Amino acid sequence: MTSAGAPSQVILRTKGVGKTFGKFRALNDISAEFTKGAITSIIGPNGAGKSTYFNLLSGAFSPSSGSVEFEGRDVTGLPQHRFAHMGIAKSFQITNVFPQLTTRENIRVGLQALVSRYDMWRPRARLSELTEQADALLALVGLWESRGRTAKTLAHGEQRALEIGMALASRPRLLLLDEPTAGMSPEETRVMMDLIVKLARPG
Amino acid sequence: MNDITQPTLRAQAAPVSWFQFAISHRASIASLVVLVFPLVMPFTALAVNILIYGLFALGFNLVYGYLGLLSFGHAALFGTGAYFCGIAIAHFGLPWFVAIALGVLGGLAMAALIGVLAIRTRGIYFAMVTMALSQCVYYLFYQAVDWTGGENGLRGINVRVIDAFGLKLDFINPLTRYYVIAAFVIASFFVLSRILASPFGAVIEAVRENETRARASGYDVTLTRLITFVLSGGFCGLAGSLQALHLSIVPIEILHYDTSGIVVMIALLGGMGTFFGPMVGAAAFLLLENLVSVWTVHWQLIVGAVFMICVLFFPAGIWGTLISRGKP
Repeated sequence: MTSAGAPSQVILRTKGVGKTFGKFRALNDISAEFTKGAITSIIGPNGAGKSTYFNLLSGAFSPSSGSVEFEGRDVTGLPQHRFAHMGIAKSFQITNVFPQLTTRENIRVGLQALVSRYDMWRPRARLSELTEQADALLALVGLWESRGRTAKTLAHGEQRALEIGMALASRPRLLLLDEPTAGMSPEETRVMMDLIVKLARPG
Repeated sequence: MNDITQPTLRAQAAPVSWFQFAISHRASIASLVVLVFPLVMPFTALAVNILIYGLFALGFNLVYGYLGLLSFGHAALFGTGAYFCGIAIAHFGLPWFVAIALGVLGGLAMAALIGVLAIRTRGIYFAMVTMALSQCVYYLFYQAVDWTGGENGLRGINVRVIDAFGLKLDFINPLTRYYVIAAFVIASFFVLSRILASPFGAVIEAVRENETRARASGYDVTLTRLITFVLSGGFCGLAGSLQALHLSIVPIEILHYDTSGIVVMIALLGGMGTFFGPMVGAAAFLLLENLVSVWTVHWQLIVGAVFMICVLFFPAGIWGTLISRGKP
């Protein structure tokens, strides 16, 4: 799990994190480092605590013990929406999009979180750069053709791609994917793997 | 990853359908309807009631239809607006526009107070907590007899002339009264339409659609909910102020949970989450109530039956069903 590299190359580090739910100890004392620009996988059998660990890294849970450091900064216990602002994005194991919104609006709302969260007066149509960025992202994840459809009408593979697109919309420096190819056909899996490799490439 | 900014593809400009035209001009169209409404309504007093309850439901619908939280305590926001406006006039003799401003502030402040206490709960718990807090507000105003008149209601809100920029409008004349109140309702249409079309409007819908995803995208769900609830309080406070001016009295029943229930029924009848649904719902509910109560004292039975039929067969509400038919 640990990758070698100079300390400045470490983007994310956990120091002895643990998580208990009531009396149940789900995770105990995990220390790990994740290198910038690398693809790191966390593997293990069912019930090993992968998802719990993932939720600690993405800020969905705060650890019961230990600390999480992102780019050298202690982020332990910060609310989850702050994680997104810092550049940590996650995709969900079970597809988690805005079902009634169009594919394009899903991405656009994801992008908007970095630009405008509380402006209630200017028309959002004025933020035309967001629509352009959304279109570019839709093309990147292969959903350009489906941009006008509501998210709930997309096929499973397309929803997974939208899930990645939404994670990318927060312009992450760290992208956390929870079982990105779960339930996919071999063909869809290959497309997804190509996309992930492309994203990890520097530049 | 940085190359995602390049505008690679562009959508071809789709022809603007009448439906999209109607959506982008929803505030103007709604205003036109409100302006011609008394010409087709036989009873102007009823038309005024429809306006006020429609505005109340408009504010309620922001929380219920757009944010997706069922509040059962909106009587407190409506009633606080009415009492603040009424007290400003009856006890302090303040001019009408100051009184209305105080009513709006009262609605905003009460929404902030109830919101802070209730906003972390969900679903049925949110409904119960808002209802309980609204009952607290009821007893507070009920006990403060010196200020509110308690059981007898707050009397002495006598506004006979509305002096608007030197223009003296006779508030006793029903039609003039209608158009004075309509001016505030129309202003609310434009403000609400702007809020819904703003970036924050998109956040409100995102939170309703998927709270977990909204949080992962970087939105503070709790704060978004609280701000929306407070905004709703502003519209409801304005509706309450207008109600106080219209009735010249604030009855204590305005804070009763009946009022909270009526606004839920109006929003459901009209169509939750639609822009003009609350107005349609108010018109349907109050017309029905008026027509049936002439005919029988058991009007609630009939109105209740109609309501149940609507919820069972037209869950999108009257307006919601109509626009889903018209959607291309």
